[in-house]
Amino acid sequence: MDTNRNARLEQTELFLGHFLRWGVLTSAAILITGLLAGFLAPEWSASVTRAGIVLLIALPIARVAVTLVIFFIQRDYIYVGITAFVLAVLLLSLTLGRAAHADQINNPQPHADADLNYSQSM
Amino acid sequence: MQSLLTDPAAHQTILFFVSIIAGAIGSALGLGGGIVIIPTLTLIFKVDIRYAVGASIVAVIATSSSAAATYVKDHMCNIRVAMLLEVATTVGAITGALMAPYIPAQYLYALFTTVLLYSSISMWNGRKQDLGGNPVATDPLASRLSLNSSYFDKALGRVVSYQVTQVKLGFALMLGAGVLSALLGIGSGALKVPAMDRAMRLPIKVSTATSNFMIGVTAAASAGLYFMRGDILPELAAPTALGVFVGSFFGTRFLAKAPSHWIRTLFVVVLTFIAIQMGMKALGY
Repeated sequence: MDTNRNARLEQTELFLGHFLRWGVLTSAAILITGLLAGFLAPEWSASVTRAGIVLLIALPIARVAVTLVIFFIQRDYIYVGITAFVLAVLLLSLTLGRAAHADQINNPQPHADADLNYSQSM
Repeated sequence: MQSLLTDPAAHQTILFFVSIIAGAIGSALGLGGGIVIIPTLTLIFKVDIRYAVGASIVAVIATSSSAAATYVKDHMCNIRVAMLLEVATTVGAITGALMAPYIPAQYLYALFTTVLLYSSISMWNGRKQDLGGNPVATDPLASRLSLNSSYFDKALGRVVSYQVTQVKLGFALMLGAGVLSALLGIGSGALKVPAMDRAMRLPIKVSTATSNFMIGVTAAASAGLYFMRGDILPELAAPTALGVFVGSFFGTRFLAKAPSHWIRTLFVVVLTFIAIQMGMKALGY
């Protein structure tokens, strides 16, 4: 039972390792493209770079989702529960964040740094 | 307020190299690297703290994912311990975020400083733990949750098996770490590693690698909000992330090959440094 369990854990680790490596490499490739676009096609630069950042931010959350699926396939139900809980809390915090953001848009507070717009100076 | 450097390409190049250092330190010690990125951006580039924190959170996520890719394959990171403790840190993070408006930051910095100084001393006193053997009291919860594991230590040239103990205490400390780091928006790794090291008695390399794996998840949750608010500037985030990728390539290899007591010594030094930084803030500097 225990060796079986360890063998399955090893598969999980290998898969997660590959998943993260490809995610990181893809996002790096997009970010480099975005930076290079700054020289060749400046109007595209920011949106390409932004796509790379969105992918980067999504990666840890996707990783939790992938882990959930793996534990489910392995019928490791304790960890299916644990991982599902973490995923739910993550999604809840993203929703809370979005709600807070909407609140800020509806009731805008003046920023102390209104005189400094860094993105314009770049 | 004008930036010292007006050439964007020069900005980005410097930021790239600073991020290599941040990624190397962050990935080896499980800290994420914000301690290097934030001061560089605010003090040298005169960037507003909002955007510095935005870039730093990208650095944390980039460190976590790129380092975890290596640690997971090397067995250095304990996935089950990470998933279990992420329950505590994510719940703690939400609680902290909801409490934040009601607690004055000055007291938080003072509390954080105290916790960090205590952790530094405690981690230093725990250095005998690195000599191996790791005789810990058996925790039935650890076997029920299959937390006990092993990794191949390249410095020792052999497999190190370890048992996890005081699971409940570790979980409770992580809850506290989640609350505190969400309140301050920083420092989750600085609290996670001592909790795993002192309470659950994981080998130091496993503690830092597992902390690394975890911090990305917590950071990603708040990064969504930062991104929507427009605090994450692509022109800062891109060179930061790319530098961190390069840095973590070196940091992960360093962690794998360095003897455990080096890692502990380095960690204590950096932790004390962060404690001093926070102490200055508590005193209003």
